[in-house]
Amino acid sequence: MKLKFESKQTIEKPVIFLLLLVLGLFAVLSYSSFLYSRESRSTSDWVNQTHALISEADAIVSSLHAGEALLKSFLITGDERDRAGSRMAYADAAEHLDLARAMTRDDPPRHDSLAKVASLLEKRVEFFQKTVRALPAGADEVRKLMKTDSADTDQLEIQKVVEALKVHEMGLLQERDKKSYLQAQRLKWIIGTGVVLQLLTLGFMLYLVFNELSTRRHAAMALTDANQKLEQTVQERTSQLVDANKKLADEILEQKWSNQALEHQLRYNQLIINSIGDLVLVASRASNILRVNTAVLNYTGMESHELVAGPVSRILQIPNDAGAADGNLPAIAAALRDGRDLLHKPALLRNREGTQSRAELNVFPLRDGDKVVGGVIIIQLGEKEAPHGGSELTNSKV
Amino acid sequence: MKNNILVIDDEAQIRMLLSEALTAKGYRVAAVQSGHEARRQVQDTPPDLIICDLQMEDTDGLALIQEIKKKLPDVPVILLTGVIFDQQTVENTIQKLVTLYLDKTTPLREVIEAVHRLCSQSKAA
Repeated sequence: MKLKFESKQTIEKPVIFLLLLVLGLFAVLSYSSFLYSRESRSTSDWVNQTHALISEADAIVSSLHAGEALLKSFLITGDERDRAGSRMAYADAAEHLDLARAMTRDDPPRHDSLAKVASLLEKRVEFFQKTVRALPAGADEVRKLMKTDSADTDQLEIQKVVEALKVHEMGLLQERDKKSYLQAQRLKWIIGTGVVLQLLTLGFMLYLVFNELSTRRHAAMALTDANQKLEQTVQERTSQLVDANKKLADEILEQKWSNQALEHQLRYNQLIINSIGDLVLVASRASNILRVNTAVLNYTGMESHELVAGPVSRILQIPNDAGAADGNLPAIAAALRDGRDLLHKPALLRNREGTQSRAELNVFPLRDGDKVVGGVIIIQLGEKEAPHGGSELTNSKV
Repeated sequence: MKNNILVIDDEAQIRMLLSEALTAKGYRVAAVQSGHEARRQVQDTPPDLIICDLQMEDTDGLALIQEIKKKLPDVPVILLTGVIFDQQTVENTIQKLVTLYLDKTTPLREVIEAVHRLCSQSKAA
């Protein structure tokens, strides 16, 4: 999760920055296109107007020439149609001049030069009117007027002014064409550069996105691998734990079984010993009682804890046993020391009340390996004696 | 299919341990404590193998086994007892009456292995 989060943080900022860059470039291109479009529209209007001005200027000259030609034709032929044509031609020239002057309203030098044309044209119109009025007076009157007329000079002057106007306008057109070309080139460069930059930016963005996707794919694969390995490890560990638990459960059962078998054997052995009617004692090498069977307890009337760890001589005496005065039983001690059986030895057995019974004892050494660690004393009862020296026979078995 | 094991022993601890161990190994175990219950169980669900103690309150294991064998002569019987016989007695007497004699000091693992072995032999037969 941490890796994913960091990756997301890493790609977000560059992508947002690049998107903003693309948007900025798009805005710059749009604004440039808008400016160029507006400029083109303005240029187109201006060019149209300029061409119209040139056309009007040409029309002035051609109308003037037509008027002059028709006037001369009228003077020669006297045909009224030529006079009407001449008057109309001068009217056309005046009309074209008015349009041209209106078009050059914002250009004072050209406007002034056309004012000069206007005065010359007015002069030509006045000559026409004078000539038409003088015609009824005869050809001499007309000839006199024509001698004083400066038609060629005026026409030439008008032609010069118009030509200068046309040259000027053509120059402006050329300049405007050049400017338009440069502007178009500049726009082309701007748009081209913008498009290239946008393509580069988009390409870089694509690279970042694909790189990010690739990184994430690898991270996902690595995560999947790690998960699979972890799952495998967990399964292995679980399997090991299950096996260990099973083994442990088996061992516990086995242990319980062993304990139970041991306890059963001990109980069974104890049961056998306790079921024996003879008195059985287990004694240490020092002739102290370690264990007794039920027959001993029944005969002596004592509890086990009263007898265990006490000397055998407390309940048993061996008549004529040398050295028995200090409470020991030398015959038993010697048998145990020598590791030999002591069989059919007459003895006296005493209970809690002090009653004594004749008995016969047998001693068998207990061996632990090659060492004698104690002995088993088995006592068979004979006749019972009174506490104060009397005796009686008993057949009772415990 | 699971094998049915009949455990006959008057000691509850023995019955419990054998039931737990054999159930864990996949056997279906019925554990009874007397000859009377054993006869009823044999009648209701004939076992595939019997594990029987020797000394019980109402009968002795060998007599009970002979009685069951009359009904189920082919069923293998393990005599599992705390009475430890000498090898000669086992060979000459005990093994003529039962399929296998095991004393209770035998490890539980060996008891289970013996059950596996006898069940496999019984199936193969």
